[in-house]
Amino acid sequence: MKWIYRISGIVSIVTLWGLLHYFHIVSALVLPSPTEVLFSLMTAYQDIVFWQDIFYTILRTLSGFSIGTIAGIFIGLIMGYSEKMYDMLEFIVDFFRSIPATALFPLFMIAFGIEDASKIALAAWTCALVMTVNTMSGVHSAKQLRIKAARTLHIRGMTLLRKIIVPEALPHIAAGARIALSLALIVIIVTEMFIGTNEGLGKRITEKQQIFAIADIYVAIITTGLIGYALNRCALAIEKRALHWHGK
Amino acid sequence: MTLERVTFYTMAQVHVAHLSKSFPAENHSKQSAPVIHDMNFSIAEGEFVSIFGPNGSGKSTLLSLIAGLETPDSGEIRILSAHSEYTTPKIGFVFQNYNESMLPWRTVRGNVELALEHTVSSSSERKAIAMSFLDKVGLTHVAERYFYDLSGGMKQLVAICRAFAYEPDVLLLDEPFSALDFATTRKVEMDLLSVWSEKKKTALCISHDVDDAVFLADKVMVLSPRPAQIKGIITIDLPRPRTMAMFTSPEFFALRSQVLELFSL
Repeated sequence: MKWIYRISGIVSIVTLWGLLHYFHIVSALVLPSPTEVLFSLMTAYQDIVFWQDIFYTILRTLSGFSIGTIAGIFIGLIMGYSEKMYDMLEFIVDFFRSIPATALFPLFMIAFGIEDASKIALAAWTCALVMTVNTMSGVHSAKQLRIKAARTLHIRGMTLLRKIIVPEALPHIAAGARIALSLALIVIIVTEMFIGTNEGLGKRITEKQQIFAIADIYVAIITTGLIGYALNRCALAIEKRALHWHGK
Repeated sequence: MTLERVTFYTMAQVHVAHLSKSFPAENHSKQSAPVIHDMNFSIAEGEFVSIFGPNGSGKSTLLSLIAGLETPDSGEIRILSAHSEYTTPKIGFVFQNYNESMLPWRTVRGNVELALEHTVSSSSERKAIAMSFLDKVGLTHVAERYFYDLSGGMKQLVAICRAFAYEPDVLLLDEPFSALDFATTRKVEMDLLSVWSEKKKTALCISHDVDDAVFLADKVMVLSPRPAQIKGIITIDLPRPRTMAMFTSPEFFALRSQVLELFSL
């Protein structure tokens, strides 16, 4: 029965959209009719270039996400495990986290060029900072009694990290990964729009804006939203399976 | 001289002499609050000793000190160790809170195997050892289930299996039945005693229930309120194996009264 409510939710928002358009409450220049967008969507889905755009956006997002996540988990574990490293790096991480990633665009362009490297690097940077903080708080949230119990079994150092602390931190790491994934998509779309590229959904949006193909802008936006939604769903499904023990 | 020392060690598995421990006071004053003051006792090999005392009397601190999780301010703790691979003795610790001391991400068998991963390199051998302990407490049918899937009593039995599988020099139990109901406690106690009598491990068990303390032990050590000192030791000469029927026997009642008298002295 749940799906009926879900579908009626979608139907109502499309109806509202149609009403706003057909009664000229919102200008057609800003809001084309749902049918127009649907037609553009169908044309786009037959276009190989459109699929290429999707492919490159997802590829860049996942590349930046993977690099940043691995680096962030690594730094987070070190900072969570060693009090000295924490004291040393805490301010630095907090400081960089306070800088909006967009402010670093120009610098990353100079450092990594205008090709894919700068886009992926900026996404990785953003992901790494989120993952560092989440991994660290995951390590800090490890149950003291569990560590104590492991100590009585002569489990120390790297073994303690691997067998007790990493699994303990996993729920926090997973939650961080979902945030990082959506941030990576945001950064990739924005860099595609402003650093320029030959393919990608971000480029598609600015390109269609320049030729006033409003319906096509909507197609690109809706597609981006669907990608974001799908990525988040995948991450949730993986999380649910891998962390079935969490909270029990 | 050497011979004397050897004799001494073989007599006492655990030897505690002039043990004192204080914690910094909570109100940030320079004074520290003594928890244990000049405590002395010995436990013979294979003996089961219950520690019975009021709440906050430093019972848990005593176990933490013996386990080497905390260091004493003064005095000494000697534990006879049959294992040369570690510089510190092997401690089988069973905590009150099994949910936070065991690993929910592992299976029941995986939890027991955690104690073996250091010493037993072959995984099939680890499995066999873990299964043999689970068999003793009747848990083989849940061996491949995840730990969180079990009931409280079963979880504590897994914790007991893990502690025994470790082949410890001393078994320490910190209020292991506090989170369990009456019937479950009796069942877990019977299972604990059957593994214990087979493995002949020296055991030290904290209890705040006088029935548990008397039923399990060879000796009940009664502690004073803070700072903890030993008020007296009562020998429990009930025959082994212990049975549920003993709970209602006059001998049991007499010993129970003795413990309570000493406790409220």
